[in-house]
Amino acid sequence: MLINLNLTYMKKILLLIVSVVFTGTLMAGNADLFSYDKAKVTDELASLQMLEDFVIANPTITLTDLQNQENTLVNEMNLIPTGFYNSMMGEPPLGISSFIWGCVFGIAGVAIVYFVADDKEETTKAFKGCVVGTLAYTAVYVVLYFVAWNSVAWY
Amino acid sequence: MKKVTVLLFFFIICNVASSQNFYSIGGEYTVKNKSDGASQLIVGRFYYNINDQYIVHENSFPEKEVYVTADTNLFQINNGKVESRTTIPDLTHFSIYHLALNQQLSNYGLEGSIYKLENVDKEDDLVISTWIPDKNFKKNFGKILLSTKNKQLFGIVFFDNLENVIKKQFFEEYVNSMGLSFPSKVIEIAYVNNKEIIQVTTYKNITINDVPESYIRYTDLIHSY
Repeated sequence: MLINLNLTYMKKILLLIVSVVFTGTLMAGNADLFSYDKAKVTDELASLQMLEDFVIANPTITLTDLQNQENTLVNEMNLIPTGFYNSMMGEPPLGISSFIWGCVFGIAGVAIVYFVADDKEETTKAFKGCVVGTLAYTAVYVVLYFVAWNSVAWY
Repeated sequence: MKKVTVLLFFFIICNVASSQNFYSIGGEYTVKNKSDGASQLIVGRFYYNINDQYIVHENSFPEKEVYVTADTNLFQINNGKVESRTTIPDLTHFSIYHLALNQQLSNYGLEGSIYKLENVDKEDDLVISTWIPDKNFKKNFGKILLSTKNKQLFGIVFFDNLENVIKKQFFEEYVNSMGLSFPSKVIEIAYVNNKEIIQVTTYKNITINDVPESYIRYTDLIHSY
C-alpha cells in the first residue's frame, strides 16, 4: 500500500518535471530571435557610413553638389535622390518613406507599409474600418459621458 | 487616515508632475538604408511638440527639404514655401517621438492598437511579450514579439500570418536627456523575397523641452497655408 502511494507520488513528480522541462524547451528560442549579425550590418552600410561622415563634415553639401563634382563615393552607389522614398518596399506607400512609416510611426506605420505593399484594396478597407471603429467608440464614449454627467447632476 | 491622504496626494502630484515634464523633443537624425541595388542616406533634424502635435523633419541631405506632419497632412516645404500636401492617416500618436515623450515607448504603441497581449515570458535578461492581432485582422497580420531589457524597448519581431519573420527592429544605445530615455540607434532588418534590407537610423544631440525658432516658422507657414 505504502509502496503504491510512493509510486503514485513519484509518477506525479516525474510528470511535473517532464512538463516543466518540455514547456521550458518550447518557450526557449524566442530570445534567439532578438539578435542580428552586427558585423554584417556594419559591413553592408560601410560605404554609406563613409558618405555620412563626409556629409556631416560638409553640412551644406547636397547630393546634387556631389553628383556635379562627380564624387567617386557617390558614383559607386545608386543613391536615391530624395529623403522620402521607400526603398524598403520598392515603392513609396502613399508617397512616404519607410523611415517615416517604420521608425517614426511605430506599429501603425509598419502595418501600413505591409498592408499597402501587400494589397491596396485591403488597406483602404482597413483604414475605413479604423475610422468607423474610432467614430463608433467616440459616439459610445460621448453617450456614456452624458449619461454619467446627467446622473451626477441629478443627485 | 491623515497620513494616507497625504501619501495619496503626494503620489497624485508626483504622477501629474512626471507626466507633464516632457512636451517637446528634437535632435539630429541620420538614416542609412541599403536594399537590392539602391542606397539611401538622409541627414537632417527633427522636432516634435506634443502641444500642437506637428512633426518636423528638416533634411539637409540628399537635398534641402522640409517635411511637416500635421494631423492627416504631410506638407513638403521648399525654400520657405509649401510645395505639396499629401493626405496620410493620423498616426502622430504612434510616432516614436510621441511615445517617448509620453514614456510609452516600451510597448511601441501596441497597447490600444489592433493587437492584444497574449502572454509575457522572461528569458535571460529579456522580458518578451507576445501580441496577437484582433480576429478581424488575423487574415493579414501575424503575431508580434516585443522584448524589453531593463524596462526599455529592446527589439520587435514582426511575423506574417504564416508565422514567417518579416521584419526585426532593435532599439539600442539609449541616451538620457533631461530624464527622458531615447534610443540613439534603431536597426531595422526587413526580409523581402528572401533578401535582407537593412536600415539604421541614428539620433544625436537630443534636446527636450526646447522648441527652436525654425519649428515655429514652419508651423506658422502651415497655419497660413
